[in-house]
Amino acid sequence: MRVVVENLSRSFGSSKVLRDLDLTLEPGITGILGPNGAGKTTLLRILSTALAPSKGSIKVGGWDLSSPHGRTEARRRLGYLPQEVGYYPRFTVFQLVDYIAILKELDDRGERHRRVRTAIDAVGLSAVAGKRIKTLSGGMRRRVGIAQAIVADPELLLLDEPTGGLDPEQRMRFRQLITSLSADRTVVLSTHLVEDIAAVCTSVVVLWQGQALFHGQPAQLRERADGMVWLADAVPDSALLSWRTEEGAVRVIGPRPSAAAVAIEPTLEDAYLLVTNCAPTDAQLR
Amino acid sequence: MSYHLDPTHHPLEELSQVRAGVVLAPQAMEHLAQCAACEQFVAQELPLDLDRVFAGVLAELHAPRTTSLERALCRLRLPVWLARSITAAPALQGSWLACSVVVISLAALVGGLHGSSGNAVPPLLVLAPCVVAAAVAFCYGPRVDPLFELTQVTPASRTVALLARMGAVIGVNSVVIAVASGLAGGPVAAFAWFPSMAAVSLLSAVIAARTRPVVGVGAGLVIWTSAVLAVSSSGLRVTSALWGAPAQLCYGVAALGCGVLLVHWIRHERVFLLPQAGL
Repeated sequence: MRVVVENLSRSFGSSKVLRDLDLTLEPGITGILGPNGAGKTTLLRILSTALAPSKGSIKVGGWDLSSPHGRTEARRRLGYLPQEVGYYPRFTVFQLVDYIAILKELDDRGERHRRVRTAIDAVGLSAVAGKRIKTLSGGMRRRVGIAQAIVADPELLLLDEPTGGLDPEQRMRFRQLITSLSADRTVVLSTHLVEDIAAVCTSVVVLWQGQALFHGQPAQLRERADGMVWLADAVPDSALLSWRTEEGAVRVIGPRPSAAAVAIEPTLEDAYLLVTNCAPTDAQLR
Repeated sequence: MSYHLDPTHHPLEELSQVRAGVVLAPQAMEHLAQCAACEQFVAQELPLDLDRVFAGVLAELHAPRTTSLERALCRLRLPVWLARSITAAPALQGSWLACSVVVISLAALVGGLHGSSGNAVPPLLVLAPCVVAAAVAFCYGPRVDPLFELTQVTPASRTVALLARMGAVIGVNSVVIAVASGLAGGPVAAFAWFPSMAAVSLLSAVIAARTRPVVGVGAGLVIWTSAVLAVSSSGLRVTSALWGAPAQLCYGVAALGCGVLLVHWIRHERVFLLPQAGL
Protein backbone atom coordinates (compact mmCIF):
# COMPACT_ATOMS: atom_id res chain seq x y z
CA MET A 1 0.00 0.00 0.00
CA ARG A 2 1.38 3.36 -1.06
CA VAL A 3 1.10 6.41 1.18
CA VAL A 4 1.45 9.85 -0.42
CA VAL A 5 1.80 12.91 1.79
CA GLU A 6 1.76 16.33 0.14
CA ASN A 7 2.38 19.73 1.70
CA LEU A 8 1.38 18.44 5.15
CA SER A 9 1.38 20.90 8.04
CA ARG A 10 0.04 20.62 11.55
CA SER A 11 -0.06 23.26 14.24
CA PHE A 12 -1.18 23.20 17.85
CA GLY A 13 -1.99 26.81 18.67
CA SER A 14 1.10 28.81 17.73
CA SER A 15 3.33 25.74 17.80
CA LYS A 16 4.03 24.42 14.29
CA VAL A 17 4.78 20.71 14.62
CA LEU A 18 4.85 19.66 10.94
CA ARG A 19 5.91 22.05 8.17
CA ASP A 20 4.98 21.48 4.51
CA LEU A 21 5.99 17.84 4.56
CA ASP A 22 6.13 15.85 1.30
CA LEU A 23 6.64 12.09 1.53
CA THR A 24 5.91 8.99 -0.49
CA LEU A 25 6.00 5.74 1.47
CA GLU A 26 6.23 2.52 -0.50
CA PRO A 27 5.68 -1.09 0.64
CA GLY A 28 8.47 -2.21 2.95
CA ILE A 29 9.61 -0.82 6.28
CA THR A 30 10.07 2.92 6.57
CA GLY A 31 11.66 4.27 9.71
CA ILE A 32 10.84 7.79 10.88
CA LEU A 33 13.92 8.89 12.76
CA GLY A 34 14.18 12.05 14.76
CA PRO A 35 14.79 13.54 18.17
CA ASN A 36 12.04 14.15 20.73
CA GLY A 37 9.70 16.87 19.49
CA ALA A 38 10.57 16.36 15.81
CA GLY A 39 6.92 15.62 14.94
CA LYS A 40 7.13 11.81 14.62
CA THR A 41 4.10 11.07 16.79
CA THR A 42 2.04 13.82 15.17
CA LEU A 43 2.91 12.48 11.71
CA LEU A 44 1.89 8.93 12.67
CA ARG A 45 -1.32 10.17 14.31
CA ILE A 46 -2.23 12.00 11.11
CA LEU A 47 -1.40 8.97 8.94
CA SER A 48 -3.51 6.82 11.24
CA THR A 49 -6.46 9.27 10.91
CA ALA A 50 -6.48 9.85 14.67
CA LEU A 51 -5.62 13.50 14.03
CA ALA A 52 -6.56 15.81 11.17
CA PRO A 53 -3.87 17.86 9.44
CA SER A 54 -4.02 21.65 9.50
CA LYS A 55 -3.07 21.74 5.84
CA GLY A 56 -2.08 19.37 3.04
CA SER A 57 -3.31 16.10 1.62
CA ILE A 58 -2.71 12.42 2.39
CA LYS A 59 -3.59 9.44 0.27
CA VAL A 60 -3.42 5.97 1.76
CA GLY A 61 -3.61 3.31 -0.92
CA GLY A 62 -5.43 5.80 -3.13
CA TRP A 63 -7.93 6.74 -0.41
CA ASP A 64 -8.00 10.46 0.28
CA LEU A 65 -8.03 11.07 4.02
CA SER A 66 -9.75 14.43 3.61
CA SER A 67 -13.08 12.69 2.87
CA PRO A 68 -15.04 10.72 5.52
CA HIS A 69 -15.39 7.77 3.13
CA GLY A 70 -11.65 7.80 2.41
CA ARG A 71 -10.84 7.83 6.12
CA THR A 72 -13.17 4.90 6.81
CA GLU A 73 -11.66 2.85 3.99
CA ALA A 74 -8.15 3.67 5.18
CA ARG A 75 -9.09 2.71 8.74
CA ARG A 76 -10.20 -0.69 7.48
CA ARG A 77 -6.71 -1.27 6.14
CA LEU A 78 -4.41 0.04 8.82
CA GLY A 79 -3.09 -1.10 12.16
CA TYR A 80 -1.80 1.46 14.62
CA LEU A 81 0.34 1.30 17.72
CA PRO A 82 0.16 4.65 19.55
CA GLN A 83 3.00 5.94 21.68
CA GLU A 84 1.02 5.03 24.77
CA VAL A 85 -1.56 2.26 24.69
CA GLY A 86 -4.28 2.80 27.26
CA TYR A 87 -6.39 -0.03 28.66
CA TYR A 88 -9.42 -0.59 30.80
CA PRO A 89 -8.32 -1.93 34.20
CA ARG A 90 -10.62 -4.94 33.99
CA PHE A 91 -9.43 -5.96 30.50
CA THR A 92 -7.25 -9.01 29.97
CA VAL A 93 -4.74 -9.23 27.13
CA PHE A 94 -7.18 -11.32 25.13
CA GLN A 95 -10.05 -8.93 25.83
CA LEU A 96 -8.17 -5.86 24.63
CA VAL A 97 -6.98 -7.46 21.40
CA ASP A 98 -10.45 -8.95 20.89
CA TYR A 99 -12.08 -5.54 21.44
CA ILE A 100 -9.91 -3.93 18.76
CA ALA A 101 -10.59 -6.88 16.45
CA ILE A 102 -14.33 -6.31 16.93
CA LEU A 103 -13.92 -2.61 16.10
CA LYS A 104 -11.95 -3.65 13.01
CA GLU A 105 -15.07 -5.43 11.79
CA LEU A 106 -13.96 -9.01 12.45
CA ASP A 107 -17.50 -10.08 13.22
CA ASP A 108 -17.22 -13.86 13.06
CA ARG A 109 -16.43 -14.92 16.62
CA GLY A 110 -14.51 -18.09 15.75
CA GLU A 111 -12.35 -16.44 13.09
CA ARG A 112 -11.82 -13.40 15.30
CA HIS A 113 -10.64 -15.49 18.24
CA ARG A 114 -8.29 -17.41 15.95
CA ARG A 115 -6.75 -14.14 14.77
CA VAL A 116 -6.54 -12.79 18.31
CA ARG A 117 -4.74 -15.95 19.37
CA THR A 118 -2.35 -15.73 16.42
CA ALA A 119 -1.54 -12.06 17.18
CA ILE A 120 -0.96 -12.73 20.86
CA ASP A 121 1.20 -15.71 19.99
CA ALA A 122 3.23 -13.63 17.52
CA VAL A 123 4.28 -11.24 20.30
CA GLY A 124 5.01 -14.08 22.72
CA LEU A 125 2.22 -13.40 25.18
CA SER A 126 0.24 -16.65 24.90
CA ALA A 127 1.10 -17.57 28.47
CA VAL A 128 -0.47 -14.39 29.86
CA ALA A 129 -3.40 -14.05 27.45
CA GLY A 130 -5.87 -14.46 30.30
CA LYS A 131 -4.14 -12.02 32.65
CA ARG A 132 -5.30 -8.49 33.29
CA ILE A 133 -3.15 -5.93 31.51
CA LYS A 134 -2.67 -3.89 34.67
CA THR A 135 -0.68 -6.78 36.16
CA LEU A 136 1.82 -6.88 33.26
CA SER A 137 5.19 -5.15 32.96
CA GLY A 138 5.71 -2.13 30.69
CA GLY A 139 7.42 -4.25 28.03
CA MET A 140 4.60 -6.77 28.03
CA ARG A 141 2.03 -3.99 27.69
CA ARG A 142 3.97 -2.71 24.69
CA ARG A 143 3.69 -6.17 23.16
CA VAL A 144 -0.06 -6.15 23.79
CA GLY A 145 -0.12 -2.91 21.81
CA ILE A 146 1.75 -4.54 18.95
CA ALA A 147 -0.66 -7.52 19.03
CA GLN A 148 -3.71 -5.28 18.69
CA ALA A 149 -2.03 -3.43 15.81
CA ILE A 150 -1.49 -6.60 13.78
CA VAL A 151 -4.66 -8.49 14.71
CA ALA A 152 -6.67 -7.45 11.64
CA ASP A 153 -3.79 -8.25 9.26
CA PRO A 154 -3.44 -4.61 8.12
CA GLU A 155 -1.99 -3.51 4.79
CA LEU A 156 -0.52 -0.43 6.46
CA LEU A 157 1.08 -0.82 9.86
CA LEU A 158 1.93 2.34 11.83
CA LEU A 159 4.07 1.82 14.90
CA ASP A 160 5.00 4.70 17.20
CA GLU A 161 8.14 3.89 19.21
CA PRO A 162 7.42 0.14 19.05
CA THR A 163 10.57 -1.00 20.81
CA GLY A 164 10.32 1.37 23.75
CA GLY A 165 10.42 -0.66 26.95
CA LEU A 166 11.32 -3.95 25.26
CA ASP A 167 14.29 -5.94 26.50
CA PRO A 168 17.02 -6.89 23.97
CA GLU A 169 15.59 -10.35 23.32
CA GLN A 170 12.11 -9.00 22.76
CA ARG A 171 13.50 -6.25 20.55
CA MET A 172 15.16 -8.91 18.42
CA ARG A 173 11.92 -10.90 18.28
CA PHE A 174 10.01 -7.76 17.35
CA ARG A 175 12.43 -7.06 14.50
CA GLN A 176 11.91 -10.60 13.19
CA LEU A 177 8.15 -10.16 13.43
CA ILE A 178 8.19 -6.83 11.61
CA THR A 179 10.48 -8.16 8.90
CA SER A 180 8.19 -11.13 8.34
CA LEU A 181 5.13 -8.83 8.22
CA SER A 182 6.70 -6.36 5.79
CA ALA A 183 6.83 -8.76 2.85
CA ASP A 184 3.55 -7.60 1.37
CA ARG A 185 2.65 -4.46 3.27
CA THR A 186 3.78 -0.98 4.24
CA VAL A 187 5.20 -0.63 7.73
CA VAL A 188 6.00 2.80 9.15
CA LEU A 189 7.76 2.92 12.48
CA SER A 190 8.90 5.96 14.37
CA THR A 191 11.87 5.76 16.64
CA HIS A 192 14.79 7.69 18.02
CA LEU A 193 16.86 4.49 18.12
CA VAL A 194 19.16 4.33 15.10
CA GLU A 195 19.81 0.62 15.66
CA ASP A 196 16.12 -0.14 15.01
CA ILE A 197 16.40 1.59 11.65
CA ALA A 198 19.67 -0.13 10.78
CA ALA A 199 18.25 -3.54 11.70
CA VAL A 200 14.98 -3.59 9.78
CA CYS A 201 14.23 -0.54 7.64
CA THR A 202 14.38 -0.47 3.87
CA SER A 203 13.79 3.26 3.86
CA VAL A 204 14.41 6.03 6.38
CA VAL A 205 13.03 9.53 6.89
CA VAL A 206 14.95 11.87 9.16
CA LEU A 207 12.48 14.28 10.70
CA TRP A 208 13.69 17.50 12.27
CA GLN A 209 11.37 20.19 13.61
CA GLY A 210 8.56 19.04 11.39
CA GLN A 211 10.60 18.83 8.20
CA ALA A 212 12.08 15.84 6.38
CA LEU A 213 15.83 16.42 6.24
CA PHE A 214 16.44 13.12 4.47
CA HIS A 215 14.35 10.43 2.78
CA GLY A 216 16.03 7.43 1.21
CA GLN A 217 17.67 4.11 1.93
CA PRO A 218 19.71 3.66 5.11
CA ALA A 219 22.82 3.07 2.97
CA GLN A 220 22.28 6.42 1.24
CA LEU A 221 21.99 8.13 4.61
CA ARG A 222 25.23 6.47 5.69
CA GLU A 223 26.93 7.72 2.51
CA ARG A 224 26.17 11.29 3.58
CA ALA A 225 28.79 10.91 6.28
CA ASP A 226 31.51 9.52 4.02
CA GLY A 227 34.71 11.47 4.67
CA MET A 228 33.18 13.24 7.63
CA VAL A 229 33.97 10.85 10.49
CA TRP A 230 37.44 10.73 12.06
CA LEU A 231 39.43 9.33 14.91
CA ALA A 232 41.67 11.97 16.51
CA ASP A 233 43.83 12.32 19.57
CA ALA A 234 42.19 15.41 21.01
CA VAL A 235 38.86 17.22 20.85
CA PRO A 236 39.11 19.73 17.95
CA ASP A 237 37.41 23.12 17.81
CA SER A 238 36.13 22.63 14.27
CA ALA A 239 34.11 19.49 14.99
CA LEU A 240 30.33 19.49 14.69
CA LEU A 241 30.28 16.69 17.25
CA SER A 242 32.93 14.74 19.07
CA TRP A 243 33.15 12.29 21.93
CA ARG A 244 35.73 10.06 23.53
CA THR A 245 35.40 6.35 22.68
CA GLU A 246 36.03 3.42 25.03
CA GLU A 247 39.48 2.98 23.48
CA GLY A 248 40.45 6.51 24.48
CA ALA A 249 40.45 8.07 21.00
CA VAL A 250 38.19 10.97 20.05
CA ARG A 251 35.53 10.26 17.44
CA VAL A 252 34.91 13.40 15.42
CA ILE A 253 32.06 14.23 13.05
CA GLY A 254 32.80 17.17 10.77
CA PRO A 255 35.69 18.40 8.62
CA ARG A 256 39.09 16.77 9.07
CA PRO A 257 40.16 17.94 12.54
CA SER A 258 43.93 17.57 12.09
CA ALA A 259 46.49 16.08 9.75
CA ALA A 260 46.96 13.15 12.13
CA ALA A 261 43.25 12.30 12.20
CA VAL A 262 42.27 9.00 10.57
CA ALA A 263 39.15 8.70 8.45
CA ILE A 264 36.87 5.86 9.51
CA GLU A 265 33.80 4.13 8.12
CA PRO A 266 30.72 6.06 9.24
CA THR A 267 27.82 4.34 10.95
CA LEU A 268 24.17 5.16 10.42
CA GLU A 269 24.21 6.98 13.75
CA ASP A 270 27.12 9.16 12.58
CA ALA A 271 25.15 10.08 9.47
CA TYR A 272 22.02 10.84 11.47
CA LEU A 273 23.96 13.07 13.84
CA LEU A 274 25.62 14.82 10.92
CA VAL A 275 22.32 15.46 9.13
CA THR A 276 20.53 16.75 12.22
CA ASN A 277 23.44 18.92 13.33
CA CYS A 278 23.62 20.58 9.93
CA ALA A 279 19.86 21.21 9.98
CA PRO A 280 18.48 24.74 9.90
CA THR A 281 17.65 26.24 13.27
CA ASP A 282 14.13 26.94 14.40
CA ALA A 283 14.67 30.65 13.78
CA GLN A 284 15.81 29.96 10.21
CA LEU A 285 12.76 27.78 9.61
CA ARG A 286 10.48 30.60 10.70
CA MET B 1 -29.94 -37.78 13.17
CA SER B 2 -26.97 -40.03 12.49
CA TYR B 3 -23.46 -38.89 13.33
CA HIS B 4 -21.56 -41.57 11.45
CA LEU B 5 -18.56 -40.08 9.78
CA ASP B 6 -18.21 -39.83 6.07
CA PRO B 7 -16.72 -37.08 3.92
CA THR B 8 -20.11 -35.48 3.16
CA HIS B 9 -21.28 -35.42 6.72
CA HIS B 10 -21.58 -32.44 9.02
CA PRO B 11 -19.60 -33.89 11.98
CA LEU B 12 -16.66 -34.42 9.65
CA GLU B 13 -16.52 -30.68 9.05
CA GLU B 14 -16.53 -30.22 12.79
CA LEU B 15 -13.75 -32.73 13.15
CA SER B 16 -11.70 -31.03 10.49
CA GLN B 17 -12.13 -27.83 12.46
CA VAL B 18 -10.49 -29.54 15.39
CA ARG B 19 -7.31 -29.56 13.35
CA ALA B 20 -7.64 -25.80 13.01
CA GLY B 21 -7.83 -25.43 16.75
CA VAL B 22 -11.59 -25.17 17.11
CA VAL B 23 -13.08 -27.13 19.99
CA LEU B 24 -15.16 -30.12 18.91
CA ALA B 25 -18.91 -29.92 19.32
CA PRO B 26 -20.13 -31.92 22.35
CA GLN B 27 -22.49 -34.13 20.32
CA ALA B 28 -19.67 -35.16 17.98
CA MET B 29 -17.45 -35.95 20.97
CA GLU B 30 -20.24 -38.01 22.48
CA HIS B 31 -20.72 -39.94 19.27
CA LEU B 32 -17.00 -40.63 18.93
CA ALA B 33 -16.95 -42.16 22.39
CA GLN B 34 -19.71 -44.59 21.43
CA CYS B 35 -18.92 -45.48 17.80
CA ALA B 36 -15.93 -47.72 17.16
CA ALA B 37 -16.07 -47.23 13.38
CA CYS B 38 -15.88 -43.46 13.64
CA GLU B 39 -13.19 -43.65 16.27
CA GLN B 40 -11.12 -45.78 13.91
CA PHE B 41 -11.86 -43.40 11.02
CA VAL B 42 -10.65 -40.43 13.06
CA ALA B 43 -7.53 -42.26 14.16
CA GLN B 44 -6.63 -43.16 10.58
CA GLU B 45 -7.90 -40.26 8.51
CA LEU B 46 -7.89 -37.27 10.82
CA PRO B 47 -4.87 -37.43 13.10
CA LEU B 48 -5.52 -34.73 15.66
CA ASP B 49 -3.00 -32.02 16.31
CA LEU B 50 -3.27 -32.00 20.07
CA ASP B 51 -1.23 -28.82 20.41
CA ARG B 52 -3.70 -26.94 18.27
CA VAL B 53 -6.65 -28.50 20.06
CA PHE B 54 -5.11 -27.40 23.35
CA ALA B 55 -4.55 -23.90 21.95
CA GLY B 56 -8.22 -23.87 20.99
CA VAL B 57 -9.23 -24.85 24.50
CA LEU B 58 -7.00 -22.12 25.92
CA ALA B 59 -8.52 -19.56 23.58
CA GLU B 60 -11.98 -20.50 24.79
CA LEU B 61 -10.81 -20.13 28.36
CA HIS B 62 -9.30 -16.71 27.66
CA ALA B 63 -12.21 -15.51 25.57
CA PRO B 64 -13.87 -12.47 27.10
CA ARG B 65 -16.65 -13.19 29.53
CA THR B 66 -19.27 -10.75 28.33
CA THR B 67 -21.14 -8.86 31.01
CA SER B 68 -24.87 -9.32 31.45
CA LEU B 69 -25.42 -5.75 30.21
CA GLU B 70 -23.42 -6.48 27.05
CA ARG B 71 -25.37 -9.68 26.45
CA ALA B 72 -28.63 -7.80 26.95
CA LEU B 73 -27.57 -5.14 24.44
CA CYS B 74 -26.60 -7.81 21.92
CA ARG B 75 -30.04 -9.38 22.39
CA LEU B 76 -31.47 -6.00 21.42
CA ARG B 77 -29.65 -6.53 18.10
CA LEU B 78 -26.93 -3.98 18.77
CA PRO B 79 -23.66 -4.81 16.98
CA VAL B 80 -21.07 -6.46 19.21
CA TRP B 81 -18.67 -3.50 18.93
CA LEU B 82 -21.35 -1.05 20.01
CA ALA B 83 -22.48 -3.20 22.92
CA ARG B 84 -18.91 -3.46 24.15
CA SER B 85 -18.26 0.23 23.57
CA ILE B 86 -21.31 1.16 25.65
CA THR B 87 -20.43 -1.16 28.51
CA ALA B 88 -16.89 0.25 28.53
CA ALA B 89 -18.08 3.84 29.10
CA PRO B 90 -16.50 5.15 32.32
CA ALA B 91 -19.79 6.73 33.42
CA LEU B 92 -21.51 3.35 33.20
CA GLN B 93 -19.13 1.52 35.49
CA GLY B 94 -20.43 0.23 38.81
CA SER B 95 -18.58 2.70 41.02
CA TRP B 96 -19.77 5.72 39.05
CA LEU B 97 -23.37 4.48 38.97
CA ALA B 98 -23.25 3.78 42.71
CA CYS B 99 -22.20 7.38 43.38
CA SER B 100 -25.01 8.67 41.16
CA VAL B 101 -27.55 6.49 42.94
CA VAL B 102 -26.37 7.74 46.36
CA VAL B 103 -26.52 11.43 45.37
CA ILE B 104 -29.91 11.13 43.70
CA SER B 105 -31.34 9.06 46.56
CA LEU B 106 -30.17 11.60 49.13
CA ALA B 107 -31.65 14.44 47.10
CA ALA B 108 -34.94 12.58 46.80
CA LEU B 109 -34.91 11.77 50.52
CA VAL B 110 -34.26 15.39 51.56
CA GLY B 111 -36.96 16.58 49.16
CA GLY B 112 -39.40 13.98 50.50
CA LEU B 113 -38.73 14.96 54.13
CA HIS B 114 -39.27 18.66 53.51
CA GLY B 115 -42.30 18.21 51.26
CA SER B 116 -43.62 21.02 49.06
CA SER B 117 -43.28 23.80 51.61
CA GLY B 118 -43.64 27.32 50.21
CA ASN B 119 -41.20 28.42 47.53
CA ALA B 120 -38.47 25.87 48.42
CA VAL B 121 -36.29 24.54 45.61
CA PRO B 122 -36.83 20.76 45.19
CA PRO B 123 -33.33 19.24 45.66
CA LEU B 124 -33.92 16.35 43.26
CA LEU B 125 -34.93 18.66 40.43
CA VAL B 126 -31.83 20.80 40.96
CA LEU B 127 -29.38 17.94 41.42
CA ALA B 128 -30.62 15.60 38.68
CA PRO B 129 -29.23 17.72 35.79
CA CYS B 130 -25.90 18.09 37.62
CA VAL B 131 -25.46 14.35 38.15
CA VAL B 132 -26.36 13.44 34.59
CA ALA B 133 -24.31 16.30 33.10
CA ALA B 134 -21.20 14.95 34.83
CA ALA B 135 -21.93 11.42 33.60
CA VAL B 136 -22.50 12.54 30.01
CA ALA B 137 -19.36 14.69 29.92
CA PHE B 138 -17.34 11.72 31.20
CA CYS B 139 -18.68 9.09 28.83
CA TYR B 140 -16.56 9.76 25.73
CA GLY B 141 -13.38 11.49 24.65
CA PRO B 142 -9.58 11.34 24.72
CA ARG B 143 -9.28 12.43 28.34
CA VAL B 144 -11.91 9.98 29.53
CA ASP B 145 -11.45 6.78 27.55
CA PRO B 146 -8.03 5.09 27.81
CA LEU B 147 -8.61 3.33 24.50
CA PHE B 148 -9.87 6.44 22.72
CA GLU B 149 -6.90 6.87 20.37
CA LEU B 150 -7.07 3.22 19.33
CA THR B 151 -10.80 3.27 18.75
CA GLN B 152 -10.54 6.42 16.62
CA VAL B 153 -8.52 4.64 13.95
CA THR B 154 -11.06 1.85 13.46
CA PRO B 155 -13.91 1.98 10.94
CA ALA B 156 -16.47 1.99 13.77
CA SER B 157 -18.63 5.12 13.56
CA ARG B 158 -17.66 7.82 16.06
CA THR B 159 -21.10 9.42 15.83
CA VAL B 160 -22.89 6.17 16.60
CA ALA B 161 -20.48 5.37 19.45
CA LEU B 162 -20.93 8.82 21.02
CA LEU B 163 -24.72 8.86 20.67
CA ALA B 164 -25.03 5.31 21.96
CA ARG B 165 -22.91 6.04 25.01
CA MET B 166 -24.73 9.29 25.74
CA GLY B 167 -28.08 7.64 25.23
CA ALA B 168 -27.15 4.79 27.55
CA VAL B 169 -25.86 7.17 30.22
CA ILE B 170 -28.95 9.39 30.06
CA GLY B 171 -31.22 6.33 29.96
CA VAL B 172 -29.70 4.59 32.96
CA ASN B 173 -29.61 7.79 35.02
CA SER B 174 -33.17 8.62 34.00
CA VAL B 175 -34.36 5.29 35.39
CA VAL B 176 -32.55 5.98 38.68
CA ILE B 177 -34.02 9.49 38.91
CA ALA B 178 -37.52 8.30 37.97
CA VAL B 179 -37.42 5.60 40.64
CA ALA B 180 -36.07 8.02 43.27
CA SER B 181 -38.62 10.66 42.29
CA GLY B 182 -41.44 8.15 42.43
CA LEU B 183 -40.38 6.79 45.83
CA ALA B 184 -39.99 10.29 47.27
CA GLY B 185 -43.41 11.35 45.95
CA GLY B 186 -42.17 14.85 45.05
CA PRO B 187 -44.45 17.76 44.38
CA VAL B 188 -43.66 18.18 40.73
CA ALA B 189 -44.92 15.96 37.91
CA ALA B 190 -42.99 12.71 37.63
CA PHE B 191 -40.83 13.56 34.61
CA ALA B 192 -40.53 17.33 35.01
CA TRP B 193 -36.83 16.88 35.62
CA PHE B 194 -36.21 15.35 32.21
CA PRO B 195 -36.06 18.39 29.87
CA SER B 196 -33.84 20.46 32.19
CA MET B 197 -31.62 17.41 32.74
CA ALA B 198 -31.32 16.83 28.98
CA ALA B 199 -30.56 20.49 28.28
CA VAL B 200 -27.88 20.86 30.98
CA SER B 201 -26.33 17.48 30.10
CA LEU B 202 -26.07 18.20 26.39
CA LEU B 203 -24.78 21.73 27.02
CA SER B 204 -22.05 20.24 29.23
CA ALA B 205 -21.30 17.61 26.56
CA VAL B 206 -20.92 20.28 23.86
CA ILE B 207 -18.50 22.31 25.98
CA ALA B 208 -16.64 19.17 27.08
CA ALA B 209 -16.25 18.07 23.47
CA ARG B 210 -14.51 21.33 22.60
CA THR B 211 -12.47 21.60 25.79
CA ARG B 212 -12.22 19.07 28.61
CA PRO B 213 -14.85 17.07 30.52
CA VAL B 214 -14.15 18.99 33.72
CA VAL B 215 -14.66 22.32 31.94
CA GLY B 216 -17.87 21.04 30.38
CA VAL B 217 -19.30 19.87 33.69
CA GLY B 218 -18.17 23.06 35.44
CA ALA B 219 -19.73 25.32 32.83
CA GLY B 220 -22.98 23.35 32.81
CA LEU B 221 -23.27 23.45 36.58
CA VAL B 222 -22.45 27.15 36.82
CA ILE B 223 -25.09 28.03 34.22
CA TRP B 224 -27.72 25.79 35.81
CA THR B 225 -27.14 26.81 39.43
CA SER B 226 -26.99 30.48 38.41
CA ALA B 227 -30.40 30.12 36.77
CA VAL B 228 -31.82 28.40 39.85
CA LEU B 229 -30.37 31.01 42.23
CA ALA B 230 -31.53 33.87 40.06
CA VAL B 231 -35.10 32.58 39.95
CA SER B 232 -35.26 31.69 43.64
CA SER B 233 -34.00 35.13 44.67
CA SER B 234 -36.32 36.97 42.27
CA GLY B 235 -39.47 36.23 44.20
CA LEU B 236 -41.00 34.16 41.40
CA ARG B 237 -42.55 30.80 42.19
CA VAL B 238 -39.57 28.50 41.61
CA THR B 239 -41.29 25.33 40.41
CA SER B 240 -43.45 27.05 37.82
CA ALA B 241 -40.64 29.36 36.64
CA LEU B 242 -38.04 26.63 36.28
CA TRP B 243 -40.19 23.61 35.48
CA GLY B 244 -43.36 25.11 34.04
CA ALA B 245 -44.40 24.57 30.42
CA PRO B 246 -42.56 27.61 28.91
CA ALA B 247 -39.32 26.66 30.68
CA GLN B 248 -39.66 23.04 29.57
CA LEU B 249 -40.06 24.20 25.99
CA CYS B 250 -36.86 26.26 26.27
CA TYR B 251 -35.00 23.26 27.71
CA GLY B 252 -36.22 21.10 24.87
CA VAL B 253 -35.06 23.56 22.23
CA ALA B 254 -31.70 24.00 23.95
CA ALA B 255 -31.19 20.22 24.23
CA LEU B 256 -32.07 19.71 20.59
CA GLY B 257 -29.75 22.51 19.48
CA CYS B 258 -26.84 21.16 21.53
CA GLY B 259 -27.47 17.63 20.24
CA VAL B 260 -27.52 18.73 16.60
CA LEU B 261 -24.36 20.80 17.08
CA LEU B 262 -22.55 17.90 18.73
CA VAL B 263 -23.49 15.46 15.98
CA HIS B 264 -22.43 17.97 13.31
CA TRP B 265 -19.07 18.48 14.96
CA ILE B 266 -18.31 14.82 15.46
CA ARG B 267 -19.36 13.90 11.93
CA HIS B 268 -16.80 16.39 10.67
CA GLU B 269 -14.29 15.23 13.31
CA ARG B 270 -13.92 18.72 14.77
CA VAL B 271 -14.24 17.72 18.41
CA PHE B 272 -12.66 15.27 20.85
CA LEU B 273 -9.30 16.12 19.33
CA LEU B 274 -6.18 14.44 20.62
CA PRO B 275 -3.89 16.77 22.56
CA GLN B 276 -0.40 17.56 21.26
CA ALA B 277 1.97 14.63 21.69
CA GLY B 278 4.04 14.84 24.83
CA LEU B 279 1.66 17.25 26.55
